[in-house]
Amino acid sequence: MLRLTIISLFLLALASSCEDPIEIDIPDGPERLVVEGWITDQPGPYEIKLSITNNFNDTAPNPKVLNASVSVMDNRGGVFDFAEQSPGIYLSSPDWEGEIGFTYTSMIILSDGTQVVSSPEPLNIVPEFDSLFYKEVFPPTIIDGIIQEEFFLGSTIQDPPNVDNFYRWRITQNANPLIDIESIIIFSDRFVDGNDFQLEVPQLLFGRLDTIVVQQESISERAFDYYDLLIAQATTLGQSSGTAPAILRGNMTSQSNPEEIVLGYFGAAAIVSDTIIIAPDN
Amino acid sequence: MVFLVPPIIARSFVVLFTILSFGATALLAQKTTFPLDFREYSVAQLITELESQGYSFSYANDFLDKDRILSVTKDDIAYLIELICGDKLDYQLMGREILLFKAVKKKYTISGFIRDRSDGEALLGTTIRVLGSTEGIAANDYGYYALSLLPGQYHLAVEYVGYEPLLLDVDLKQDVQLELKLVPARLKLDEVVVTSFESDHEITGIRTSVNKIDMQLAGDIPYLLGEVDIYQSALLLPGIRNIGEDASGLNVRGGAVDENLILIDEATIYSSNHFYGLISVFNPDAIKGVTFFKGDVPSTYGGRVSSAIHVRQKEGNDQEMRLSGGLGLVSGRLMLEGPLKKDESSFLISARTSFFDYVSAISGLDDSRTNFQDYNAKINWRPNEKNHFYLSSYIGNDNNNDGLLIDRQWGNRTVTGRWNHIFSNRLFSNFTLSYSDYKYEVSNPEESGQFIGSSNVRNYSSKADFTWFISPRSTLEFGSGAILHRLNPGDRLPLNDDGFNNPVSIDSEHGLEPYVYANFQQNIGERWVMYYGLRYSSFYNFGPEDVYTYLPNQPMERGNITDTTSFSNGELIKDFQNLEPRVSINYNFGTGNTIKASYNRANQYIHLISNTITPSPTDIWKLSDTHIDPSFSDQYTLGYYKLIPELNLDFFAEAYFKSTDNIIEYKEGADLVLNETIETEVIQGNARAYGLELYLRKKVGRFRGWLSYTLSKSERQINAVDVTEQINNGDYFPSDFDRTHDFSLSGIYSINDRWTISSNFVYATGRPITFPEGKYVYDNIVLPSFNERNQFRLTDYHRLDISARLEGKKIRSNGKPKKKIDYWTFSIYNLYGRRNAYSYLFRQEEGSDQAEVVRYSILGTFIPSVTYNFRF
Repeated sequence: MLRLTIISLFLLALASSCEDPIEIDIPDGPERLVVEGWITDQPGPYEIKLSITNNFNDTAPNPKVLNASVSVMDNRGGVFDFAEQSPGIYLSSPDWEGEIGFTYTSMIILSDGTQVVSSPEPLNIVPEFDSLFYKEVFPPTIIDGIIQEEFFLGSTIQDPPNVDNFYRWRITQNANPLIDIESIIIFSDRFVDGNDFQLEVPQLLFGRLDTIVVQQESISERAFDYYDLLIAQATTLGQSSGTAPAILRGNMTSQSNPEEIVLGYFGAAAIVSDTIIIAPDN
Repeated sequence: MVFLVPPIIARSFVVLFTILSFGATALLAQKTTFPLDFREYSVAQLITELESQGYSFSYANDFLDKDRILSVTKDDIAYLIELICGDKLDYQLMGREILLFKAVKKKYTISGFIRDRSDGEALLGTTIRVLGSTEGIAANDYGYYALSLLPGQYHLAVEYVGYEPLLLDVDLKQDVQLELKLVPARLKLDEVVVTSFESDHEITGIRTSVNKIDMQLAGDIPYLLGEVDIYQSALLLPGIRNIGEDASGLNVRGGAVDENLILIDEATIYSSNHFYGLISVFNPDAIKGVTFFKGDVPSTYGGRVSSAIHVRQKEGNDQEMRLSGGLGLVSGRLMLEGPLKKDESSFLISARTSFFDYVSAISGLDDSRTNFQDYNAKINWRPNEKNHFYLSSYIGNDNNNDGLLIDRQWGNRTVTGRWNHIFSNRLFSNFTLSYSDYKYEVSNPEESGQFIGSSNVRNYSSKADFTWFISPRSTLEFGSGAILHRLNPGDRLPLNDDGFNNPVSIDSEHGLEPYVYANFQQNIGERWVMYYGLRYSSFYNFGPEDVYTYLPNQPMERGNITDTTSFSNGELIKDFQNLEPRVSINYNFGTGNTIKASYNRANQYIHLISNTITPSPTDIWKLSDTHIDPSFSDQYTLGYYKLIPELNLDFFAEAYFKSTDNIIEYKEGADLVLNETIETEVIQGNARAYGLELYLRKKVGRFRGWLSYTLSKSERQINAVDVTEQINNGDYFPSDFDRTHDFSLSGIYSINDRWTISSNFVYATGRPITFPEGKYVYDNIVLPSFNERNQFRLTDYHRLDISARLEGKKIRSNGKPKKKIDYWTFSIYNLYGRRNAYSYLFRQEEGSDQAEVVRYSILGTFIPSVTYNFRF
């Protein structure tokens, strides 16, 4: 019996490598501009958000960047201005829509004259996907003797051959967009190019009668790499086989000072979507 | 090699003069006597007397002692000339002319193997001293010795740590083959746990920065989970670190994990940890000992820039059949060894397996499964004293299942065949063929994502090593070999053909690494010992392979590829040629004081590329090629060594400086899995490390222990053409394994015949980490904004472990000694349960839009364990 106790102790020690929230002083690093904005083939207006990094321990929201001049250019000479709708949030004109086959570049001039541009982002066609399906988690989780009824989503995607495709799924559950890190779902056709392939998302669980909307977006390779590193930094950083800390470089550069790092990403994507209600027969 | 010539000439002269002297004696025998008074003469007087008889003498004045008094009792001419010559001169007679010259006497050689008497294990590096002189020699790395001396009577002392010294009286009249057998020291109290350098270093000189761990003796200190482990003992020595409690591999003197050459019976081990880094792959039962070369690496070893770690498996008991084993909380061990034919052939077979899985399955705590196994086997055959054959193998396996579907397996496999042949009693040879394979496999049967992925690294190695025991004052080791590398960076195949998944396969890489080396040890006078080593290594990267050409002076990125060159099977792509000098000088002041200086150059043609903080089993090995240059290091060491025999203490202080060029660093955000253009994900730079190591040890007595302290710095520099690829603006920054202060104290106290208690205390500066110097929000996710790498540190690390060992009763109730030996070990790791930080997590607080800092500890509590060991 003693032996069993010892073993359990050991298991506990190993199974729960401990995590304790702590307070440490973190110095202020360089303040960096953060750009977030996406152009799609769906009706606008589109949003470009400008903010500034603040101290890691700061509980206040990130400072917004006001009075900037924000515009997006396409590769055929079109220029679309964005207007500051609320502090740090700039909106395009509602009658402009992104178009498949175009590339878009954002151009930002801050009130101090600093010019920041993105790399050109292609708005690629998005492959279709079959109707969504759901599967019940098996074996089911049991909490306090009650069997939990949980479901996860999947679909079959028709990947076009001989072209590299990069995808993102955005999921809305009962009209609430899912915004945590586990809900950022990205994948590529690297191993499935040209095939109708099945995708399942077992990490997001839903309940009976949930209404789920999935938006499938065609993102660029660079945007895919950006999200890939973003997810790694947000989830595995610091763990023993986790990713090493690194500057998360997006596609924005300061033309005034190329050595200055601008964070965030300006992207473009086409969207298809589908809706499903989880209503199993039994 | 100039230094070779004199001994060869000297030897030929011996032969020549011996023949001539015999001729002269035969001639003289016919000569008659002549009138001479039987009285005392001086040498000068006798020569004058003989010259008056018609003989003439030629000699150099400086070596003839003319005033020496001789007492003449016979008038035979041969007798008279020999009288003049005495011990120191020889002569040659031509007609009536006599040539006197310094005597060169033939030496005879005592040679053979040195073994443990109880089980026949060869004892490597055993010293043989000629008592009453400064002469002596050490057995080579295969336990063979050869000591050449003038004819005469000698008292020899044969000494090996942990064994009773063997005293021998030898009357040397001819070459002798003598197998020496040492008896393990009976008293446990005399044992030594970790040997840092041989006490007989006056004879053989000290190789700087060498640490040996003898498995027979390493079991006394506390271990995590009671698993005796060479890596855990190594971490208590100066200059050897790891990143954290579950980090794989070792960092030797500020070097990266892949910069250590790790050998088991001369075959390469690519991944030396089980269980996420907690336990090394070396099963203590099957291992004879380990040698760590931290700085002054003999030219025998090469191919890595930091260190050489050579693990030798036991040969198997050639006297009697033995079954031994043990049971701990993590693993069970069983080993069978014994003679196939007594004194001629023996075998060893050993297995270790974790059974952690069964425990967790019963407890139901966790669905994930983790287990490992090690198998060691060895056979040797000695048909005669001149030929020994060995065949050994190691197979390791790790398995991990995440509790859902993904199953991962990895491990090393090695096979080594060796033939030791004695060409002449002073020329020993060792021929080795070895094969080594490290494989990683992952399978995911999940319907939509099903695949099987694999990668492996292999090498085929052949080599010939020679030891020539020229004289007790000089030994030459030389040899050559070649390693064929074959790397398969990755395949990803569908498990079954459902039409979803396409097979992906990355080109394999091929390289040939031939080398020659020589290492000459020379004692000069009574105080100096010199080592002159030289290694010439080459590397040939050859096809089949497609090699990309990138835009010159631009970052190596896929977008900058301008051309692809296809190389056919066996076609040379790129070659490298390098000379590696390795020199060291010892000066012995007498009274146990020695200083030593050494210089060491090494090259490395195979690199581990990892984008995680500690290496993981999935990491990619990469050969040097068109885009990746070999790394090379220069290390300078200065050491002082002191023996205080009255207190049974020894001490050393060593300072080192090491610079390494062309180290490999992953680019920020590198993607390494199944990447065809891996060169685009890495960048080369420089590293430097320097430090001071202090070590004090008490070897024998009721209380034993050692204290080790290291003050050091380890830095890297990545200075790229493109600003975005630079790290910290191209300045030097602390490496992940930089530790300013590192202190450890281990003590062992034997209470009585049955109880031994021990303790370790460790204190070290926290490792460097990167703090986010800001935060921001993107896509509703709070993200850290990093700036410069490794500018901050974790809190200091400290820990106390204790253990107690209880020996089973050695005497039966009827008074007879038991054949079975057994003991229990009880230990507590991290006694005061300190939550040492492994790292800090900088993340978004769950369910909030705020950021939080979390201390992440791996073994943040005290961990008790109990282990039972036995031997029949």
